[in-house]
Amino acid sequence: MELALNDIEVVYGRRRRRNHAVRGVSISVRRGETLAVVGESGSGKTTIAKVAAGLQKATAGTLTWHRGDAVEANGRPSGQRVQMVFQHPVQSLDPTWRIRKSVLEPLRHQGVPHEEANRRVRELIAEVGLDPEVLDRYPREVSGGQAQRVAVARALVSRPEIVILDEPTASLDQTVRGRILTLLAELQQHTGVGYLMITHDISSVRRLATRIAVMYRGVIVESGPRAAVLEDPRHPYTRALIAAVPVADPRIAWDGVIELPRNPDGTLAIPSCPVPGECREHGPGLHEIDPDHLAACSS
Amino acid sequence: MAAVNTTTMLRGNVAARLRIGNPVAVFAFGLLGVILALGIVVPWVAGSGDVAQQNPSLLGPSLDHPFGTDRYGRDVFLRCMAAARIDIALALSVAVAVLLIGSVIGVLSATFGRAVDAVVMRATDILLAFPGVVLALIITASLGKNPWYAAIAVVLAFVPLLVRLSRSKALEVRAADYIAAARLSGASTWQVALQHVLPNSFKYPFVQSTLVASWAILDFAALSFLGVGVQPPDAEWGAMIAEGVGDNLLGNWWPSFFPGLMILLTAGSFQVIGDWLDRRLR
Amino acid sequence: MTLLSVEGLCIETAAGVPLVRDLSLEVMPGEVVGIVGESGSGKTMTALSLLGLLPDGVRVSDGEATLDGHTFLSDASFRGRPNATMIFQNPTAALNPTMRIGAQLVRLLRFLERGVETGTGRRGRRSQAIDLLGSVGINDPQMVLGRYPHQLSGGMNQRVMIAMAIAARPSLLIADEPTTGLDVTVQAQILELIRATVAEHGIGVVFVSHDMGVIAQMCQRVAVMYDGEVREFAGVDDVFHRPRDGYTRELLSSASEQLLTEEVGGGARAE
Repeated sequence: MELALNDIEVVYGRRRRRNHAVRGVSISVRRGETLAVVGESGSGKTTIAKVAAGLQKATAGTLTWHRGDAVEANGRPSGQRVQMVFQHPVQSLDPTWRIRKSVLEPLRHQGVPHEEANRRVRELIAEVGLDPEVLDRYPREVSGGQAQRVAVARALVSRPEIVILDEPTASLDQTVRGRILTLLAELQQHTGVGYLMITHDISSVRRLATRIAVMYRGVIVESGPRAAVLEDPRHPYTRALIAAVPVADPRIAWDGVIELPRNPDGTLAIPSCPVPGECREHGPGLHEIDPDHLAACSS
Repeated sequence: MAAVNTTTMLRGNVAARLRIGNPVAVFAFGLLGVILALGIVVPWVAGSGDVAQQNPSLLGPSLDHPFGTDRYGRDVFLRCMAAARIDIALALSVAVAVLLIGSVIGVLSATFGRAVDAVVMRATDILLAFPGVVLALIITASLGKNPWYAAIAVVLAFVPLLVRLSRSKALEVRAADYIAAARLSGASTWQVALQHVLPNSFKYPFVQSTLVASWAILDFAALSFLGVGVQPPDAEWGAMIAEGVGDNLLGNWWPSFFPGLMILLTAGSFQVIGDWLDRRLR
Repeated sequence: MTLLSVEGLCIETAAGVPLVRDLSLEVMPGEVVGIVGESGSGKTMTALSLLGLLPDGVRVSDGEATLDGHTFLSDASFRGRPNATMIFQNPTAALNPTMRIGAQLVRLLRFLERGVETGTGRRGRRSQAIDLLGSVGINDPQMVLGRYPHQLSGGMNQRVMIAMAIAARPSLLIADEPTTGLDVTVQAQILELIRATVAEHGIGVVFVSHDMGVIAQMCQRVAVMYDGEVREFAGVDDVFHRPRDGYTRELLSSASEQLLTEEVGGGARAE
């Protein structure tokens, strides 16, 4: 079971004020696997998340579901095949609803009978490591870490195919982050759900990512299996991103800044192609360097 | 809230139970409670003071007639208390009506956007262009001199305010993540609007509605003063002031003073309560 | 010799709830001392207290602080202003949104000159401002002078803040999560700038952060805070490779989980 975004383009504004938030992005997320989309502000990764969730319409491009080779459905994922975990856990729960009601909501809309729904909720709350008494609380009465666990439970309760994780640990304390990522990994093992993880922090993808796609200013500049991208980054931006992460070990000399050549208006200007000569033959875009490892040629 | 023993009307006790805190707000609650209680009990016990023409007219305040008598010999105190019922009932029902109508329209306008929103915005623009009393006058002039029409007019004068407030809060709320989560859970647009957006954008319109209660008393009194609200011989504070205006010139201040004082105390109490709620909710 | 010395600092709310208990640390000239902790640890309150910037209702209840030999904080009251400046977490929000950068810089320079007859007119100050922006790595100072904060990126605004902070020629710079919220590539540039500034001016820095990677790479000594207390204050290598406190170990293990490669952080895990 696979969700594919094909050649997505999202443009804001008209004529000269046009802002290409996303351009020519094609990604796919499979059940049981995690695609991490990494990018800084303005990269378009959040827009991709919203398009994948069906919360935003793309200006061009399609969304398709694939089983094997057959294309199952087109357009907005229906029947809650896609769920989402948001960046700010407490804000992703209705403050006027008790937690139980929020976690039950997806099942209510699916028409699951009351008793069965409550049972599933109790199970899932236990599985995310929470005490059932949290169900009777309001979101403001629990911590960020607890709220995120609730959000994960709510995302999984309706048994979706794919869950989009939008910076799931960005607003959590350090010591809590690792636990949430571990939880997500365990749940993926258990349920076989696929994750589309959006993050600005390339160092947080190690736990979960099967594949990584790096975005810069609306386009994918590199994509491939996790090991390939992290250990052998080919695109200068990916290299800069990895190098910029300060290493939590004072013995390792860190000089985080890789100066990237830029045009006067600040956009990246990559003078040379990672695969010399490829541009001339195939034009700018993503090129296959190694099997399954793609990198962009120019911005 | 803990149940309050109705026989212990010691203000301090009640205030502590209800955790009101601010002494001015306590006083306002108390005052409103007293006026309301008197407004219910006094007319029930002693009549509305209309049928009392045997009293000599224009007696000053005394033990027999705490607020004096007006030119028709009616006991001003009794009439004030009878009027209290009308005015407070009116204030509360206008506030509730304005709150319910305004917040629902505001939320729906924010939800459905575009065409619906444009229509609602222009309609509120038009209504807000008129000062409340003028608008009410126009409406009652066309419909007729009747306290019900006056009440409707007051409601229409204040609804746009709450529509605006509720709409702007609703727009804020709609940007929240839990709304996106609700949509992903399968909630329809209507369900999102009524189950999520409305409860979360209700707080501020609610506070505003207590102020509306206060202004409603003033507007309604103004309308009755002008003769388009409550019709004689029914008692209403504004109407009573109108009736007492002529007496003032001759030095008989009490027929219009006391109703005016009642308006001040009641509308003022609502204001104070509204402010207190406002501060509480921040 | 010691640049900054803080002893027994206690901060509490008006209601008497303790936020920071008995905090002691010191900074040498040219040294970056880190304060690391999670939210609620009291690290930001500590930083604010040194400049008298605590919010309403929060106050220093005990402790002493000395900068450059001048005891500016003792018995819970300030005696004179320390020669220190601060940079904050959200640079765009920390700048005046209604004034252009140039105007804010010039106003600052004029304030710094107060009481001193320098004879620098407006043009002199403007050229000083340009030099200042250039010294923090801004390539087009003229352009930046004419812009409003919201028209510039977070990274640019943080450079401006750093420029403003060092314009006052402080002995100590307090940095409260200066790169939190910035893109990681921008963070790297700002951290590099702070390093260069320390090297050039020989100032001391108190660097508050929740990011262990930043702390490891920027600081010579580290104070680990939890729930208002300093759990450990030691050299950065000791803190990362020979942690003595349980909470420090917890922080280290969660940080090492996020490392990109397997090799690093092995020392910490061995504990």
